[in-house]
Amino acid sequence: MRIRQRIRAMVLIASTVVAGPALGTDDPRGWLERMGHAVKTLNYEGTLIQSQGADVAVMRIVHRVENGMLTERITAMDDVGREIIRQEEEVIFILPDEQAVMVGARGEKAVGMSPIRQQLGGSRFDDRYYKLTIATAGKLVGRTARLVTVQPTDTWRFGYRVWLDQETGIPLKIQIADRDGVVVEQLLFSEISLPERIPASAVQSSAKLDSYTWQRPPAATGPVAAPLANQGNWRALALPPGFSLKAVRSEPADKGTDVLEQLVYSDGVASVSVFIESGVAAAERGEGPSRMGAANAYTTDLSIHMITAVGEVPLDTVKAIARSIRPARTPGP
Amino acid sequence: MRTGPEHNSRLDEQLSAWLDDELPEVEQEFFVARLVQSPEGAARLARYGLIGSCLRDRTAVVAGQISDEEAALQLAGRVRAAVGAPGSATPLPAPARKGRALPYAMAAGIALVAVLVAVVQTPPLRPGAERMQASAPASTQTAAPATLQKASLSTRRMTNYLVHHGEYSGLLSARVTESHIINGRPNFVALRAADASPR
Repeated sequence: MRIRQRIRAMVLIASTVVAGPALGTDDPRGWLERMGHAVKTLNYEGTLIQSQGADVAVMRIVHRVENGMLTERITAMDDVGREIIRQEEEVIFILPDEQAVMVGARGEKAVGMSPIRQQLGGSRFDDRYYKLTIATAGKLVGRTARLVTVQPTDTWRFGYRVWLDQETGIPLKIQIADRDGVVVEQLLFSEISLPERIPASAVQSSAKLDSYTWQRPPAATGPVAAPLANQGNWRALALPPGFSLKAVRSEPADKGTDVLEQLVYSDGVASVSVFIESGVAAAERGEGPSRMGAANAYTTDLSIHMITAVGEVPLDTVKAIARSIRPARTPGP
Repeated sequence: MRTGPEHNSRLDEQLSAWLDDELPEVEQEFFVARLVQSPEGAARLARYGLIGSCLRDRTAVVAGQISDEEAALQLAGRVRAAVGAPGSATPLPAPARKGRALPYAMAAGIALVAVLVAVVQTPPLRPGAERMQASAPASTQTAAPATLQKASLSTRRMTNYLVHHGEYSGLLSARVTESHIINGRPNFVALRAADASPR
């Protein structure tokens, strides 16, 4: 028995050294950290299924890491064939149905992660707002999985169930659920492989983009280091518990409007972007919700400005934040 | 339980036949029971159901045999079972021995309703909620929608917002945001809701 325990311990230690942080522990934070490490360091490719209710979409994903640099190609497997090409310094969204290419700057080119995602680690899961648990989860796509549950303590935010590959930490399936555990949306691999090498050509788009309209924003000003309370032209009079301002950016907006300002609020896990536009035609303005899967949006008007909050949070959260936005010079409550 | 290439090959054949409604009735019940007990079988079901059905439906759409909506609903009916099978809290629904199309048709009907009410009128925040105390709002995600409401945002504007939001979304939700962009979710929802007065 003692020998068996010793062997188990040795395997555990060896695995941790090979695969990154926290392997073999039953600490859910450690497993989520390991997930973050895995997606930054491992090659993988597979078929990803998104479902929300009865609506299902299929995507092909190729995720390449070469010399520490992450590049990626995600292609919708439908007759439109939208694509996301993640390159060293930018993310390119190819929209054949609109003959358009939208380019987003990457927040952190060195590791390919957004500023907020970079901040995410065990410490970002605030115990006041999220409870973490871990369990065994049988097999998914032929791989042994562990299930990490991120349960919200209130209804201002969604919860997550993440099935992680026990061997590598790669997320095999993610569910977003409300506080009652009802699944709002889920993503899962129907098949996945982790090749040693992936050629660069596999993460390049095959679409001919010469005739497409390119929308390339200027370099973002955010993320802005704290304190942020007095930066930017806008602020929230009040926020749901745990949310605070993480980034501010401003750029020329869509055709026909003057400027697009973006405020990013996060509780460390969920994030909400608030977009403020002026010069939007009256016909396009109005108060109300929009929704797609777990992503909710709420639009409201303030004088000549259209304010929209968007995020993977409950509708009440984006609604409350959108309605709370005021010019920065407005006296507080 | 048997394993090995021969067993897997037989399982593959049965899966393919079952998804195509071609598995003899006498084999269906035993097959489904075995499938539920076999993680490998469930995983194979996911692969076959999703990829095969998707390609078949897309071919039919291109050929003009069915509409996009019909294809989505057909695929959804098949995939719900497959997606829910491995590791899901929802058990794999066993198809009825007779008339398996009927439950799927019902699921498709429910799916259509779900799509149509994707953008709903939500109840106002509870009194005092604007103060955003720790007392959370009543959950509206699972509440039955009262009325259908048109989406506030145009498809293009929502896509633009999601592109901007995507790089700031959290580790756990980033893929979801990206999938909304490339799968045209805003299109699907907003166009249905805003057809009467396109923005």
